[in-house]
Amino acid sequence: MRPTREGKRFFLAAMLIAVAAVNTGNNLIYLILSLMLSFMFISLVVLKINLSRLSVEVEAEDPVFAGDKSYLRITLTNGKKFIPSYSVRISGPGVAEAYYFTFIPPGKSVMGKMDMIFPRRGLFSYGDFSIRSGFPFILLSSEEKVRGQGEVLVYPALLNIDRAVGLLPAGTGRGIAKSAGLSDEIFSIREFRDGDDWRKIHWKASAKAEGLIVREYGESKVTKATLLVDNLDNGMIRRSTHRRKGPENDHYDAAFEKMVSVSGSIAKHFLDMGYHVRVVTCRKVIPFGSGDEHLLKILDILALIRKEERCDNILPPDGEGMTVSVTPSSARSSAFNLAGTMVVYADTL
Amino acid sequence: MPILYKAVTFVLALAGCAGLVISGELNPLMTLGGLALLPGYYGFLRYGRHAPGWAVGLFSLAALAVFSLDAYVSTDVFLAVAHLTIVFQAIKSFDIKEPWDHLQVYFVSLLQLIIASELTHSMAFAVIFVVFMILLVTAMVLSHFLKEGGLGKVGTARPVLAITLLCLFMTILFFVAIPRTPFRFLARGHLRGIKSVGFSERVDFGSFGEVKLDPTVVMRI
Repeated sequence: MRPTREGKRFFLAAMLIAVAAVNTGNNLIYLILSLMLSFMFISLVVLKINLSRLSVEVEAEDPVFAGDKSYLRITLTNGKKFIPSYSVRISGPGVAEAYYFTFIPPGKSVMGKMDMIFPRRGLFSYGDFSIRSGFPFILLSSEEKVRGQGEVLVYPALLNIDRAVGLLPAGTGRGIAKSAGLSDEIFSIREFRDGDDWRKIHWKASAKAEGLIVREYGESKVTKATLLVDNLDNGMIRRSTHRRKGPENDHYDAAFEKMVSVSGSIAKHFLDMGYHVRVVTCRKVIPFGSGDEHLLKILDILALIRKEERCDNILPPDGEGMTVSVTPSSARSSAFNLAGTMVVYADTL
Repeated sequence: MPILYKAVTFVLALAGCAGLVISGELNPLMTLGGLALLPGYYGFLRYGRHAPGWAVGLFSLAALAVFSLDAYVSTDVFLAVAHLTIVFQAIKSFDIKEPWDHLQVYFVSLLQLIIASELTHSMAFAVIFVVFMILLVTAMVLSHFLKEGGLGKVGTARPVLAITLLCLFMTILFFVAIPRTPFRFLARGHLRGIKSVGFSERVDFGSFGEVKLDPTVVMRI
């Protein structure tokens, strides 16, 4: 609790009036002094009560990306049964501007939205938020720490990968192949041949053609992409230095973070084009999948990915779609040595 | 800026000046400038306008010059300060722009009440003091919301009422609890006792003194 600029002046004035009261012995001056003292006392007590038993809950509304402005839903709860709280500001780590609550009724919660920027990816507990108030007057201001309940997973920043996109395949990923198959979509109709399944006869078309006509179904051929995220910590730079400190390793760390961001961006690029994407890291594999939900699964892994000492996933050359390997630095070789793999060096983008 | 806040500022300024005027100790000629308070606050309340800076500065300098002359001629600096505060309140009524300006008005009003408390023991002053106290609490709470940007977004009647009552209670408590001392170390109070007629064992005819205005018959011959 500290006095404001106005509070300091008020305190000084009260001191002078105290001197005047003692010097003159005038009861009216004593009355004014008493008024000023009661102002200071009430400031102290009401401010203390105003901030007591307040708790904060924080929740991210949408996926949170490192470096991007994200909106957090804050719930401020007044635990006091009978006394409301007025004029409370909340701020926290990474908060651009403190949020102001005018009134919090007793025993109730109020909600607000706050802008926040997380500087890097990872799992963050919300940590200490501070609640600040100067109510009821402008003489004192108090700030208290409250622990925000909950955690937030911050995804890596998604980058503009235009330079890499030029090398990646374009066009839609999913289509019906020009060959017969077993999908549900009709590819063509043709005359009945011996051995055809009777259930495939198209009776309406057969009546028109005065002969048996069968439906031929197309094969739904899904284009697949495998993304190899090279998080093996055996780079040339890493090996050449004893400790991790130093500009070279700082550079490597930055390149590693960029690799994570590039991986997420490439995965999004493929998914947007309708590809089924699989992500393989040194320790984890996310099977083929598509759509926005699959992107979030991939980003979940990328948000927490770290350098590994060894690589467990030796990917068999199964030839399922195309394979792209993302490596932090062009100064080292990829952990996944597969023939026909396109390699993207994050530090060159 | 809400009209309520402006109105409270006006009434506080008026209460401070009224406290001084009802003491009856001021020179009416020197307080005439205080009448400018009315057009000043009218313009502020109605249109929110204020005078140009150069005009305020010019009038302030003139007020200081008059104060010096007043103190020199009357040889009573205390009363000259009282006159000056009234004139300053009037000038300030043309120059209220920021929240801090309101606080300056409150402070000058408080100063006026302190001066008035030295000039009078009238009961009317006590009434003004109570009005002043209630309005000051209101103004201080409103100024808080104004500073934080919450004024107009929340009902202020309840907190103001609760804090005013609490303030009244605490003021009485402090007033009773603060110890008084008989020591006067800087100067004596400005208020002189009123001489009144009366009798002791010995009466000197032909002596002079002020007669207290009292309709009670003291002697029939």
